[in-house]
Amino acid sequence: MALSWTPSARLKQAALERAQPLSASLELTYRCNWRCVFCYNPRHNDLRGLATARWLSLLDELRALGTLYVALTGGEPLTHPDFLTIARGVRERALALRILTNGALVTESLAAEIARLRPMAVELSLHGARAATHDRATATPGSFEAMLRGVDRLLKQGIAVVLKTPLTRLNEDEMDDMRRIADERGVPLRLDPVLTPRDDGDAGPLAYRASPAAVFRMFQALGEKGQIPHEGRVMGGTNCGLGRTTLAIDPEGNVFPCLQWRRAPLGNVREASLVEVWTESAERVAAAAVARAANDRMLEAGAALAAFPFCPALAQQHTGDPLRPDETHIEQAELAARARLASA
Amino acid sequence: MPLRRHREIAWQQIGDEAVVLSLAESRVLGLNPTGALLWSLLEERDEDGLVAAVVERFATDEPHARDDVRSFLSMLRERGLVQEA
Repeated sequence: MALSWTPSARLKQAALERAQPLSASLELTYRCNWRCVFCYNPRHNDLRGLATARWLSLLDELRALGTLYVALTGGEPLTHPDFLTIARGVRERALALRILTNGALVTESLAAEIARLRPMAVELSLHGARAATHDRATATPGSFEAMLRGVDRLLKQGIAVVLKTPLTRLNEDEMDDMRRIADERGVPLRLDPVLTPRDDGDAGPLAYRASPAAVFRMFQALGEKGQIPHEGRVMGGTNCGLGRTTLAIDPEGNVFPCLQWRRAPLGNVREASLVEVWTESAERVAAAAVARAANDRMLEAGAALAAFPFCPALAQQHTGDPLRPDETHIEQAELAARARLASA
Repeated sequence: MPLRRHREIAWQQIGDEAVVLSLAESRVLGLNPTGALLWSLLEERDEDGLVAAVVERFATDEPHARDDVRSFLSMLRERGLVQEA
């Protein structure tokens, strides 16, 4: 009977088979101190939300359900008056913590408090390499400087920082300079060309999509590092953790099978326990079936789509069908395939 | 005397196995069923108690179980995943 370390990929597969929600995203609040022009959240001033005591009891339920990773997000999670109490609650339950913030509210003392929690990462959005570009995207003067101050305060505390950039037509000419900003600080920069409609259905954010030429340049740059997004599918596999290993709870207690999936909530934790919602929801089972079907559908859709990550939740938003990719997704898959060929 | 899991870890059971994240080292470790059992009990039981649990669950003899328990706890200490209670 040897004791051995088990590869984590196998454990992920085990979680998938058991529908164990390893990753949970908690949207603590809709509130946000920025007004990003392409944001999906139209409720920046909405103060409604679950009581802190309920968030903490939800952490107990997540522990019981088998969650390992908890992401605190929003809105802007640092505007929640009990953010630190909830973040400490995550760690007190031996769950791994990620924080998604715009960074503007990170003071020296808050950075020190966050460091004590040993988050896996704090992820911040960089919207441009110049203040004018960034502040135009956030519609908040001074946000560029505030965000970088926050980044530097977190780094000073030894916290792992990740910069994320929604690639848009506003910042597509600043990719190299944004990389420089990240490189100077020794942190990764993740560019993402996907924009989504607002949660209320308003398609306004899509007008800010980056040009195909810019998306191609982005994939080319990733190709130089061997980092073009790639999905290694096999027939009968699963597209993603939708309905099985991912879970999201919005500020009002609605539970979703992932952060993007808004077709219908699985239930509400004001009316039932999270364990009941997760284990008894027919919508969760339906979403999980979509994740299975999406894998094979993409495999049958040609080499470019088969090799490119696909999000059924975004497809649902764009086309009304979680198995039908929209034109932009198809275009991006083809651009990625071209860049892959060019870098081979 | 039982040990304590280090504060700077995160962990979860998956079936009869477990995954442990060392947050200080950004490392992910998987534990097989024996490791997962020991990990789940190590704050409650001393070495003798852990050996008894392994003998009971895995139908092995006591000397082999004790070797495994010692080897496992030693690995956890070396990797900084536990501390003395």
